[in-house]
Amino acid sequence: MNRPVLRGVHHTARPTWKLRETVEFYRDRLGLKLVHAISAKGWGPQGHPDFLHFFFDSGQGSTIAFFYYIGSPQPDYLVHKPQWDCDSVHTAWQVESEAQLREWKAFLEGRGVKVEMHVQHELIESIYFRDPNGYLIEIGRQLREMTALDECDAGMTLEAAIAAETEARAGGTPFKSIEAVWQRKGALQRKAA
Amino acid sequence: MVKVYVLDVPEFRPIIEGARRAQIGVSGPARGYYVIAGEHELMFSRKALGLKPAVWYSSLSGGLEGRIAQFDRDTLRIVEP
Repeated sequence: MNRPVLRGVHHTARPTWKLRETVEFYRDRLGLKLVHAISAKGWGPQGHPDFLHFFFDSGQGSTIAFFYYIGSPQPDYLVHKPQWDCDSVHTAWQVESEAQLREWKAFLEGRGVKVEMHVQHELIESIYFRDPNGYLIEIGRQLREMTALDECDAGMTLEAAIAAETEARAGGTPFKSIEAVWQRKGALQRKAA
Repeated sequence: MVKVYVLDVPEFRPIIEGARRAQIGVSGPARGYYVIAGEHELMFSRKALGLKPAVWYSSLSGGLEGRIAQFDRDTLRIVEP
């Protein structure tokens, strides 16, 4: 059977313990339309609290969604820490041009939202800011199309990295730096030449 | 001999251009990669290449034959293993 088709992101969802601030931020400051809200009695797994699940339009049929669990205190493990590991979970929206990216930066700053970073990555130029939960939001523009060469290179990188991880798990050389991946990839390149 | 493999894409092209300006041996592209080779050592400066930090820190992502002796915000030095 062929792999079935996917058609992009419908929504991503994260929990919030700041209902008013979250709605005011996404709807009123960012101007994303509140397009859907579920309010339900807790059901399913035992102890599931009553909840709200609400969605903001982020363009092209995608939404960003939140859960608000009524009467459920925020566990420590879900308090977002603004640091690299927690921030790996983030939402990245797409714009079409450099002009649109600059418009967003000006729009955010004009509405008192601090733009923390403006970074030119390999394939995307991005700005970053936070919502009232501390969650990181990225808005980026793709700098070029991904090609077959990128795909091939990605495969080789991950092959090298998985080999390094496998060796470390087997008790061999600890996997402590990206240098090990680059050296393994260098060996693959040499072999392919 | 130390070698750096550089993917033939626009964001890494400044590394190739910088190596050529510095008269370091560059060959390729072959199979999608340039190869920059040095007898015992290769050295790059981010400012001289004009690379933004995010791409700079991926400079060796195409593959490496050698060992990193220094890799900070401005200097990358590769030596024999």
